[in-house]
Amino acid sequence: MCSVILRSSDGADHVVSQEAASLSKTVQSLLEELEAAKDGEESILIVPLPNVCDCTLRKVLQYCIQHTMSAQQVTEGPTPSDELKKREMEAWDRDYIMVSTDELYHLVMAAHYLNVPGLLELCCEGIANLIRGKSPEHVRQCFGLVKDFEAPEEESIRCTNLWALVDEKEQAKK
Amino acid sequence: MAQVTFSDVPLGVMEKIVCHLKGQDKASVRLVSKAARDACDNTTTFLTVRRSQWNGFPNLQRLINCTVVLFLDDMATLPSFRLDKYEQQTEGSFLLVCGEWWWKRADLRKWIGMQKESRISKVGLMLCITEQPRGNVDVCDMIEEVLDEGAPDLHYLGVWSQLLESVPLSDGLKWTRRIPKLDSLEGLYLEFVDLDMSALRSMQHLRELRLFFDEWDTSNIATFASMPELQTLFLEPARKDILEPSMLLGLGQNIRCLKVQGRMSSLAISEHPLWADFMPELFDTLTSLQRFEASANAKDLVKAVLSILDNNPAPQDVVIVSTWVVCHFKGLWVAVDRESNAFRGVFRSIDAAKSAMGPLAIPEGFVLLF
Repeated sequence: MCSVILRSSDGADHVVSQEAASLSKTVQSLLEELEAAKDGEESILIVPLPNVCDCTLRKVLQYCIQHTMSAQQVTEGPTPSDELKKREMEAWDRDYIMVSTDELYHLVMAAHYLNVPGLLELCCEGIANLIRGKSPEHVRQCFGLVKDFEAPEEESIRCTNLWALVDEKEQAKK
Repeated sequence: MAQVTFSDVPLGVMEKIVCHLKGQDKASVRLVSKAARDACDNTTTFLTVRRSQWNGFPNLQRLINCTVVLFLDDMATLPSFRLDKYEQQTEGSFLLVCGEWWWKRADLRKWIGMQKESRISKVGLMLCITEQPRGNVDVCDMIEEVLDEGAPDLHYLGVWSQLLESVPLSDGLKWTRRIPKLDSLEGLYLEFVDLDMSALRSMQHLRELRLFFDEWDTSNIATFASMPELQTLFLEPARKDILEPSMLLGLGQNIRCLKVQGRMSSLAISEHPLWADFMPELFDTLTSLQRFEASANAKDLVKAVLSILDNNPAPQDVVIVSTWVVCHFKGLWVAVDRESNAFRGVFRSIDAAKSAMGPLAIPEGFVLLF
């Protein structure tokens, strides 16, 4: 199997199969460019990723490798036994995304930059899970956000949007 | 190490995050920051406006993707079962209005008028019966009363009932005659209304009809067949003996979606033990039919499908569609819930099964709440 080297922003190299690396569409297109430019040489391709640190890249590659392996195990078409594998993968994803808020931030930014759709979706779901049940102030604290509304603007949003955003089940309970 | 800040998360990513939120959580996020508010605005496709939170009309200019605005009264008894059952796809924007409190407000009518010129193209009314009618009451009188001079043109109408100790308040209502203002209706949803089907003959644009009934006239099927644009028919017979499956063979050739289920009785038509043999005949007869759905178990059909699944079918004969397992059976596709094995429907094609699964996933699609 063909391997490539992904180089993090802090200079750490990770050897990974081209298949796993190509889960990142950014890497895939960089590989295509490098492939075209290498002029028939047989040397291993090195992809520099200046926006991803070593620690985050490791975590991203853990995802890519696991999902590539899982995809290889699935036969030609989905069957009930493949469904079991799919559920196992979902459980793996749930464990994988149990990280600190800081890690989640770096991971979502990396998933966005590297364009790994599955990982990006997983990160977004993980962040949404952290938001649920929290007040605006609590969300700001959790995610290091700053309230950039003027007071009248905030009041206006509160007045004109609250009706649209009340959960029906919560309302029914009341 | 300083705490990271999510303020530089791109808007596209923020939108993906808020897509996982709804209700109060989305409200909280909207108040967090301008970027969060923008992400919420950009991803709002379905709004509910509640009477108790009424603070003015939604600014739809911000909510560019919003296709449905649902004005709800604060009726605590609004049954949750209504939420998932009615699906209506629209082209363009849509508006639903619930209850007379909203319907008769001059400011709402003015707002609808303004929206119709720009984004809102269709109007629906849910008429909820909250008081027990005395004797036999003609629902036509009630409808004509709410469709007064200044009322917007109506495309969808639902008449439904509050339940009092499981007894519908609208029991005893009759629909006896044509209502000219409803001739251009596209969707009609009725429960517990004793309907003279001939009164609907002038509704030549009716595309969707949903009826919950405990009495049935054998000529009803012929009336459905005479409606040229009727595509979706949702029948909820209160008892098994009201409607025989074979009657469905008399439906019109334009029917694309047929739903039959029991709500009050577990012995409604969808429990009838002949579906495995009947379904191919039904689809052969109704050439436009794309899907047949039912909430209860068609036991013989489920058994036949499980037997196929147990015998290692060819991969192309089994497709997973979200939480369903869809299996090729006698030229059709039968869906069962992958966890409970409950019957979910019969489809002419995999595409039809996919479109039936998860109405909110379809652009411009939404769950109609009646």
